[in-house]
Amino acid sequence: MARKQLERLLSEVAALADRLSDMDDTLTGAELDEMLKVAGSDPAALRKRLHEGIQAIALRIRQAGRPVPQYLLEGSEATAPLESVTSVSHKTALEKLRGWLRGLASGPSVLSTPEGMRVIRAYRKTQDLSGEDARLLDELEAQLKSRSTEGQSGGDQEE
Amino acid sequence: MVATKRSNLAVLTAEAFLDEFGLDCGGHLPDVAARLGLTIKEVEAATFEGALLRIVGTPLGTIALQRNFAEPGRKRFTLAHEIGHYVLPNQQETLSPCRVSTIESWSTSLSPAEIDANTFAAEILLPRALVNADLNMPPTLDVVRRLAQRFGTSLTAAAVRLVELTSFRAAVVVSRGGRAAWYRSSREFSRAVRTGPLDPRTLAYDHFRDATPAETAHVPAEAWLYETNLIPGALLWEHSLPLRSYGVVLSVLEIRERVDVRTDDEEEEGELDPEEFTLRRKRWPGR
Repeated sequence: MARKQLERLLSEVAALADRLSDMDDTLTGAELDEMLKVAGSDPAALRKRLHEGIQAIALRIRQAGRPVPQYLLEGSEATAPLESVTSVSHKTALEKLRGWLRGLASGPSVLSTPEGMRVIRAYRKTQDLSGEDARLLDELEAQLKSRSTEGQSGGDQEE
Repeated sequence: MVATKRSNLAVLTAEAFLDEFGLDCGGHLPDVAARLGLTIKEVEAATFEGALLRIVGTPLGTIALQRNFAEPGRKRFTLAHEIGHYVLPNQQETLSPCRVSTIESWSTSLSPAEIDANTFAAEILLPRALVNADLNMPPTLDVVRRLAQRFGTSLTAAAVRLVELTSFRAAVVVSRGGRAAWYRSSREFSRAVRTGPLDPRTLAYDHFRDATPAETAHVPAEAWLYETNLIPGALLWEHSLPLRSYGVVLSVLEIRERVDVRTDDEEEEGELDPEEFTLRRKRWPGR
């Protein structure tokens, strides 16, 4: 591939990476994810593929003995999975994590309510869970599922 | 103790959390939880203190808190801990329940997910930017009490945070049933604390024998530390307080004088001669 063509391809990849990142100026990460879901895409899977693609291109450039362009490095950081933010720059890591938290705070969409709903639990116990407490958690799980299907976003404190 | 990469994610997430919800968000966690799609329910549970139930893939969940906490600080910590499970990016598929019964614990026997949730909770309840003002004095129980009161946390959480951030040589030890169960130390402490049966020369030991020792005393360093490279007769400061509601003793250890034997390298170096840092020096590198 000619150098000019490669540069153009890389620019396109970087632009796409920017749009898929949580740092787009005009579209929030949550909004973009929502649009992709509407279009039938899985944003997480798409982001992962893009990240892998960028890394493959960067590797080829390195193997050819050339420096990886800055925008490609930035694209790689922007599409890196959240679990690996510890290996990107502090600023980028914070941006991505803030975007992640904003996504959580934006509330569930109708589209994201899964049909095969799966509830998971993490609890701090003082001993083995008693039968009564297990039933209590089952009850809470049922309420949570019902809240989700009713499209309630929750947030009230009940005592 | 150097933070691992894994706990760095918890620290980073907490930093982003404080950016997003404010440095004082620890004071109104129920509101923050509501914004995150979490409903808090207080329940009559006997065998768990806190639980998070979430629907995978959606920002929707329930935090169940035991109704009868011994102190409000512990309840807040548990709420922050459960929020940690909810927001930490690497815990979105956490399926296994906690296997260890300790709350506000940094025992190495805890699962990494639990330690991360504890780290997250400590970071948001006692933000390092606000704790800094209390770090310029030796870490004593008075400082721990002041931090706990100011930030509305338990004494244990405040003590752990203090030794994490202080530049003094300090450690916090939690003992249960006459045994040192776990400890955390400042980066500068640079010694391992002995866990297991308490030495009878410690104040913590006396508390388990129903004695009422002084809160602070000079004790032999070897009563708490391994003897390797320890100067014979070296002393350290121990501040110990029984937390009767939990059946534990909280100890803050502080090394003020040198307790370590000089290493071979240090012996070789000997005392530094100021003249060696001037043009009149006798030895020059490479000669």
